[in-house]
Amino acid sequence: MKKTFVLFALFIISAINCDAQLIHTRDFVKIALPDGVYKLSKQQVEAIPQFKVTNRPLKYTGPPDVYKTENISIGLFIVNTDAMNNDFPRKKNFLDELYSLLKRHGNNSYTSSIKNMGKNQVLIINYKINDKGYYRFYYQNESKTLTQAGEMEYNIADRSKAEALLNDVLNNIRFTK
Amino acid sequence: MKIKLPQLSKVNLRSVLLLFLSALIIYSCKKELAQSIVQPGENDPVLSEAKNWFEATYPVTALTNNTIKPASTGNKRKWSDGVGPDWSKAAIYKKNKESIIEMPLANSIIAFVVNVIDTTKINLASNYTKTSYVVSKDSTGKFRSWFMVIIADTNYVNGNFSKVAINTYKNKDPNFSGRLLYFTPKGEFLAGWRYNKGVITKTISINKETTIGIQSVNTPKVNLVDINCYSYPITAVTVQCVTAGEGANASTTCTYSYSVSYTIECIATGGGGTGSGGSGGGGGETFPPPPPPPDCPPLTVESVNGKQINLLPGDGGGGGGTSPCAVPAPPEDPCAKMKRRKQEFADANNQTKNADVLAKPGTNEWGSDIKLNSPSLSSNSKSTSISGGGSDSWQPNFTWNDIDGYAIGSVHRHQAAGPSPDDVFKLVSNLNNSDFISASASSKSFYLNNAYSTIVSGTATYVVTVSNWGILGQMHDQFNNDKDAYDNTFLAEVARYMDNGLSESSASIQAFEDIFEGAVTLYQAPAGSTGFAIVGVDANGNIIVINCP
Repeated sequence: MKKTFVLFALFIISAINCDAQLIHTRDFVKIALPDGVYKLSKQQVEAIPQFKVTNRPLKYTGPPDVYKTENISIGLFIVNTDAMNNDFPRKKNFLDELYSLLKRHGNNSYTSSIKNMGKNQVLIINYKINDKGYYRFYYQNESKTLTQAGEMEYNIADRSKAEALLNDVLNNIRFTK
Repeated sequence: MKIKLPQLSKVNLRSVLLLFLSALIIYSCKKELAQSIVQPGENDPVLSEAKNWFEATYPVTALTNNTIKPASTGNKRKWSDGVGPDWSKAAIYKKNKESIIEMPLANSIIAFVVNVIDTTKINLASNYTKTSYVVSKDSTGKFRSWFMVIIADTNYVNGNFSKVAINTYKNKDPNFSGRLLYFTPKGEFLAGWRYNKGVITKTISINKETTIGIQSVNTPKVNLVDINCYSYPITAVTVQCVTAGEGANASTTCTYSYSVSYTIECIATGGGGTGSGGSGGGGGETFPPPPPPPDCPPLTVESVNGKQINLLPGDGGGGGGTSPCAVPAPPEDPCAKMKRRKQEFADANNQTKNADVLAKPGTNEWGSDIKLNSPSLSSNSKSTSISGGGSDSWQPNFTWNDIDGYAIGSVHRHQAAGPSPDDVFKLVSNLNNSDFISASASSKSFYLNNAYSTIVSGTATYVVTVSNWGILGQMHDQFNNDKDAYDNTFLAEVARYMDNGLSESSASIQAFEDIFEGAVTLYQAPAGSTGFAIVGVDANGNIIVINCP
């Protein structure tokens, strides 16, 4: 009887642990998200305060899926299958030009790089605004036909945590096509 | 001019001493204020400009003996009727990037008395009210004016009436307790707040107003349905005097007008506030500005080639205007307007300049100012060189004088992106150029009506013109609050639109329109072409490109 109880308890614990790992699933992709990451509801996402640039409310253009762990948010877009979004050199050039805007005000924090991850590639840009750090990442399949784009926001003090989380996410992206 | 105040005969020696001491304190306070306020000279252009605007917008009917009627006959004048500012006592300063002129009333006293509508019980010798005029000129040259009424609490004054006087629109006593009310020069209520020890605790609105003669009505404060709101009567007493004759034959007649307003005071939600607002001009706490004039309803939705774009009022704005809501002239047909503007931003000189800037080698930004010899459409273009912006961005060199030219526009190159917020806000920051500030009204108007910024890229030519300087000025203030955060919002929008499948140019235009729609007009042509189209947004906020015949 005691043995049965222990087995039952172990089963429950493992079931809970299995539930703790969130799987992000969209067309062409599955990502096993690290422990502790939870998904924000639409209302929670819309309630995130935005910097006011105009007296009119800006329509939401952010990622359809937003996750969070501690003070780090991770947004995941749908997988891009078009040629333009899969042309990484072109994309990097455009983002480099676009984000050079920050230099005008003395913000030289922007960096970008294209790296190999096994047979796949990833384009990562990183910069900071005031006390926040930002990553935008683009993870591409080997045949350069699918790109998973995402964005992260973190407190500068959590930079190493954010970097580790980004690596975790990138290492767990599995294209299903 | 003499103003007779009732019940002054009761003053005794002690009161005289008190009055003397108060006068001393007032004098010393005024002296202190004078050091922090730029007193205008006789020829101060802002003052004379403001006076001209005010007198044209709010003509004051001067009192004569013929217009004065005894209060006992039931005076029906509104408290603000016939009252005007004393321009000779104007103080000018900058607040929130506006030129502010603060003035006392001319030949009048207005007292607001809370919770007393039996006018026989109002003692004007104990006036807890300070009523002054404020005239503001914003960065686009638009004027507005309002009455600022301070009604101090008896506990705050505590017998020291000079404490009322030290509160101005520029400087608020950090411990101020009482009411702050704003009215238009026509006496229409704008906004109100209740302060307790410098902190806003309630917001005030007006329920109804009645103009009365002398009568006695006992109306205690009323608890409204909302337990957070109370209604109080506030009686306004306006004393205006006219002196006829001279010397020994002079006689002064005063008229007393009474009107009662019922205010609704509700507990301020959102934690209240200190009421501090703005900066500059000597620091310290300040009273908040009045609410902006109400938006005029959208004028029309015009059809261009079967497609619709929203046209906001104020198009081609700038210059004077009246408050609270200036009704602009009907908008120009967008295609006719584009055709007219194209004669400037796409003339032969600009086409050559655009092509030369686009043809520069490398990926750095290159650009050139577009200058005229005089601020006139018929003026010849001034020769300007093309310069490189190095590894960073190209910066225009705005000038507005006969020697260096009148920089009505500029062109610079992007590799693939459309216009950025910085490209637009340059047009606004040019307004702070010292030559521009001292330019004539017609010269400024020429800039406001014709300024543009051109961006050439490998895929398209973009031209940005300003359609509403008022809105753009507010956005410029938001931009200046935190340029990095502002740009980051724009950059993230562009990147997100691309992540959602839009091309680079579409993503940057969509993000640009999301932010600047209503403030600017964007024209777009294929690279190297003058076949411009209007870039607008549809009812869902999606980009539409309108090709004009």
